[in-house]
Amino acid sequence: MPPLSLSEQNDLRIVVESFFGKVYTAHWEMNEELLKVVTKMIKESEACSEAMDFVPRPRAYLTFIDVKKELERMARSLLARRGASYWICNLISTYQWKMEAEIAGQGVNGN
Amino acid sequence: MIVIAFQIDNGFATSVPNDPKTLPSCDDPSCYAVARPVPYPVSIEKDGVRVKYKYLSFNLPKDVDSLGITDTITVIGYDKNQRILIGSLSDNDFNLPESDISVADGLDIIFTKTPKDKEPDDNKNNFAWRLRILSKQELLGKADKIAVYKKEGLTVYFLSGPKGPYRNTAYIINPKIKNHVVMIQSNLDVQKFINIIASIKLKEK
Repeated sequence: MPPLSLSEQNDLRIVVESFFGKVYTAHWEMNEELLKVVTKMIKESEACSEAMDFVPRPRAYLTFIDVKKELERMARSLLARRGASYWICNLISTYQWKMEAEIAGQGVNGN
Repeated sequence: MIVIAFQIDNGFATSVPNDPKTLPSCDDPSCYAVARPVPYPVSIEKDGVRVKYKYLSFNLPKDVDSLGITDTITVIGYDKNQRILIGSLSDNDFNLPESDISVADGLDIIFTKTPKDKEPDDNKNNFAWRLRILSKQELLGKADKIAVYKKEGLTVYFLSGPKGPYRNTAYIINPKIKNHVVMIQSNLDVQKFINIIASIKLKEK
């Protein structure tokens, strides 16, 4: 799996800052593991999928590669919009995904 | 003197209007799901690693394979890629419009309130309340088990199901510290996870 390019890392940073807060994500590595966590979050959460305006294909078949291709558009969408889905995704990401995202972003994911 | 004020959109919620009318109603059956109080589980696992964390102590299964520590989270790894995550949530973790609803209050709303309950009257807290009610659809929608345990003044909300990164999640609330919640997540077998909950005590000073 090719590593994330610099622009992909920048876009991923915008996405994770938007949900988990810059205070926490400032020290995170923008890596494939973190992108996988974000992919799972979008796949499972209708609100998160809507918040990031992710509609190119059924979420059931959503892959890491799909999300990687859409990162730039997702980042732009998050900067531009703050609707109900965004706020709900924000709650879901904090209550359910924050710890998983942090261990991926700090490289301690996996035994 | 002319003063020109700029509003900079830094991506944070405080710059955004929080009008409850912009939120949809919560109609899904999960909006009416609540955690029923159940008797506190009895600890049957006498062996284990005693952990002291914040104001709590509890037992984790022994035979630990690995230990990972981030800025705010401890990850305990076991064989077959099983793991336990221990961390906490505070009011500051939520990138949401300002309100008087604390992280603990937010969980109380999600696990015990429904759209039939009385909402706060003011816009600021009404918006925050309704966001919690709406999030029930995603947090509780596919849960196999939702329970609330009470012990030694602590409230433990337990959630088990296929959604989220881990099958089992426990949120432990000390009502004296509303702006802070201890969170434990794991993909361990449910009974093993309930054994951890059973062992939770207030830490002796």
